[in-house]
Amino acid sequence: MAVEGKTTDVFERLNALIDGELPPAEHAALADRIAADRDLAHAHATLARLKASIVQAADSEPPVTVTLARPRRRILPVAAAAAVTGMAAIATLAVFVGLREPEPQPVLNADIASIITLATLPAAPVIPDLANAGLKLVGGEVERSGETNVLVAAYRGPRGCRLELRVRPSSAAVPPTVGTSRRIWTAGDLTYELVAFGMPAGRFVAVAAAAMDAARAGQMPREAETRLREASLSAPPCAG
Amino acid sequence: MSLDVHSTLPALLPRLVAFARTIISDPEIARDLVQDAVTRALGARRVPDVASAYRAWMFKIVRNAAIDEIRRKRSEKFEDEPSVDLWRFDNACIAKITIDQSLATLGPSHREIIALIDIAGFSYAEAAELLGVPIGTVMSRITRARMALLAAIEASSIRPMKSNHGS
Repeated sequence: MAVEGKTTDVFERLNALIDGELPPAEHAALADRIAADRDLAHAHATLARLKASIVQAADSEPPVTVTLARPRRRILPVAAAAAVTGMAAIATLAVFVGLREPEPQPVLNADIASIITLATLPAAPVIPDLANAGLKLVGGEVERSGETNVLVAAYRGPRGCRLELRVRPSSAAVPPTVGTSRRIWTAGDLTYELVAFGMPAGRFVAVAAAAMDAARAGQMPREAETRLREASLSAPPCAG
Repeated sequence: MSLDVHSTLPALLPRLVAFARTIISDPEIARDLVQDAVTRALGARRVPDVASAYRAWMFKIVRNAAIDEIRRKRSEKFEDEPSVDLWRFDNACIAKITIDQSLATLGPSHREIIALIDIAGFSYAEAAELLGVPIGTVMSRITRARMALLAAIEASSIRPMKSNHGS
């Protein structure tokens, strides 16, 4: 049946009904007609099922993460950087963002600032500079875990080492994470979780201790930097 | 700019992506559009500070980006008026797989109004304001769009698997 004439009017009102857009009196009147008319009831059920299926299809999208990884030619607006306070700890970092790209791309601090803004954590997180351990910050993203935002910072080493630092509100539970080594600590209102993939245990212990010191102190302590260097020099390549 | 201004953004992301994907049909481009929109939003000097206005603002940024993308493609201009027997429609044909496939066959304006009303969850009044059209136009557009979607589902060769329960 084509959508014409009176039928159009009925269809429009059926659609308005399932969208909750009909005034109460019209809603009641149409509901009465639906109850008495099998065809109308069928049409109403079809539209309701259609709407529910569209919503269901939308909700079944893969989990969304936003990675503010930019191609080299594009520069992020710097206003987001100004929006973030308490970022002195990362202000001097050589920030590299680009999880989806084969080569880490240098970008502005505004990128990591934007990720921190987007994460809306209860306190400004410290993303430690692990360059002295040969680990570069190569990416950052915000994951949604239930009602909680988790800031994920990814580090890469020149010999295949991979580390992920996950920061979430300390009120949130820390779920199991796949990795070969893991260390969890709290600093203020935040819980930090450092996960390594294939990194030798001794080196990971040193890196985790330095990262924890940095998170708690708000910057990387000088003696921790020394420990990072030593751990990097003596360690074998990562396995993962 | 307060940090709290963007606090609702992460929760909006799945619907923003679904919204963009409905208009654009290409999931990768849809995600890129949303990522660009988020970047733009975080860098904006003036941001709505009321949650409902912020939500509408974000969807509008994504919508504008999607429309720009469609204009770049310039491949979809016309929309056929659908013909479907709503009184006898086989509801069993409505399933995620047929929705996904059939949405992609609709024209941009049909996809857009479905994305606004069903996926973004805007009221007719909100959608009318966003589109700059009267509420009555939204009402007729969503009706035509859903009829077009049902017609596309009916015309599709894809059929969801029937359950054997009770047979």
